[in-house]
Amino acid sequence: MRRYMLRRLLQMIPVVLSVIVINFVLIQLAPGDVSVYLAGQEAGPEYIAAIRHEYGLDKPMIQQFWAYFSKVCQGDMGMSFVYGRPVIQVIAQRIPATVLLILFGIGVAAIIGTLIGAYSAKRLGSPTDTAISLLGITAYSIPVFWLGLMLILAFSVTLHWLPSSGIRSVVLEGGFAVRASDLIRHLLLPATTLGLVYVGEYIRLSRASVAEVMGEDFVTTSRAIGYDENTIFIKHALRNALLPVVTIAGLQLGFVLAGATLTETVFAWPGMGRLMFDSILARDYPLLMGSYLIMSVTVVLANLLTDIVYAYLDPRVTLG
Amino acid sequence: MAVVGLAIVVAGLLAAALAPVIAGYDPYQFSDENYQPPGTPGHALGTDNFGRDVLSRVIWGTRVAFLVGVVSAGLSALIGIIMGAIPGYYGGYMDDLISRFIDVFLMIPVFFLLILATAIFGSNIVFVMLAIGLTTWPTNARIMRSQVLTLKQRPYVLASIAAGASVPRVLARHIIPNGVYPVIANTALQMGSAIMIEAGLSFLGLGDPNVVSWGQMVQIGQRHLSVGWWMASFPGIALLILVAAFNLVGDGVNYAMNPRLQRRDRA
Repeated sequence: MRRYMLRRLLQMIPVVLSVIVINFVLIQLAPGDVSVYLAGQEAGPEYIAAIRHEYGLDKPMIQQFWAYFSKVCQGDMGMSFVYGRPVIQVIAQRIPATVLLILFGIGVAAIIGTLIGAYSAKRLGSPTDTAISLLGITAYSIPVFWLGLMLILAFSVTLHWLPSSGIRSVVLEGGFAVRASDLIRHLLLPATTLGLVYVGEYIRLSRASVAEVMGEDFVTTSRAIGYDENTIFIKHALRNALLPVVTIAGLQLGFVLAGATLTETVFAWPGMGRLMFDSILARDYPLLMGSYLIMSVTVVLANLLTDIVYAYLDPRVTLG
Repeated sequence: MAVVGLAIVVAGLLAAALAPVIAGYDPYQFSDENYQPPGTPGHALGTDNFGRDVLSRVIWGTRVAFLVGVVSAGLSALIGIIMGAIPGYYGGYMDDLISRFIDVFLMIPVFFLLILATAIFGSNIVFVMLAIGLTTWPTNARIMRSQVLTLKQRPYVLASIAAGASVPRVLARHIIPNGVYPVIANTALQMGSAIMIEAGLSFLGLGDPNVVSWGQMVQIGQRHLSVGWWMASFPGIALLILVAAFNLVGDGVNYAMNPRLQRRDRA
């Protein structure tokens, strides 16, 4: 197991390296002066001169890459000119909100979706099953930003039940309970938006997975022995089918983060996605590129973690 | 269900082709009748903040959606087939190298790469379509490669090689035509996702301002949500229907080609 983990960790290196190279190449190919992308558009001449020196922009390409690479490896992604602080600090502050949104939204979606999918697989080919499949595909095809707007339209603009943006009320007094309920009220719409879109994916996955397990020999054997159908379903089918569902949650973090970025943009949710949107608007290139790096590395790490968890959970996976 | 999807795609294609005929208004034409609600005579889906007819803009938006879907997914399929078939056929260290490259590429989140690229290079629609195509082909290459690996051992392929057929001929006549179906299914799915990606970029303000795209209509509608709910609602519904249709078609092709799935559903 330890050797397997080590090998997977080593495999990560080329991926992370590629992400850094892509960043570097994009800056080099970008129209205009490279220093604009590293220092930001509104940087003064002194800061630009300092940046040019720091990144060795007057030196050959290889040395430039090395300067960039070693800085990134030290966690130095430059200064955000909008916030006037190091990029890494600005991003770090936004991570908790995104984690909260994803855990809440995707967590609920995974549980509900898996149960609905399993239910559907139990009635394979029935009208209920067809209806659920169609519902799953529809949910999966909803533009997440549009769904967010529609929920705002219904629950904020029309009904005035829930706040349409932000993470907390401007004026808020009270203890922990008041703060917590305020947070949940703000979280409800964005989390529902993100969850509804991905619930379709979980329905599809869990349906396919349970259906496959139900066709396996050991299920047929259990039936022949005379076990109760519900026991077979819960003890064998559902348990075995959960594995791919767990896995996909990790493997799809890239899509989930993309969805979260759009959701955060709609709801002005102060996470990494909204930060990325703001940095696009302000043309804050150092911040934008830093966000891209962090998001990509997170996704790669999630992939790695998923593989390890999978290998741990499924004894059939041979660790080479 | 796949047939329903196909019918919707065909209907959308017709709407895109006949946009100048069936759309009652010029999608760019400003007028004094702004914020007219749906159902207003002459404006079935209302008008936007500049008095432009929402229905006509939704119809014209079909063109951009199909353009993005076909060009992006088409490019992705083309590169994917080539990058999957040729290394898969020859094997060797080139194949190893390209497979590694594909593995690495599949782990990188494409949407964020596209955000960065369009933010730096500008949001011209041609660039966006090419960028989507250039970043999404690795799934196709992987599918094609695994097809080639099994097909190249088939007797009829071996016979063709023994008969002295050239490599391009074997690939073009025997292997690719027989192995391309999963790529076609994936291409249908990718058309839907390319349309969704373009819409997402447009919503983030990275859309081409010179075209009428559904994503941009939703983005503009967001700012007028409380005074004109219809501005954001209808283009989003159009997006949902077309993307769902492509997903149904993709699933249908997959199902039709996969006897394992069919056996499972009969059981």
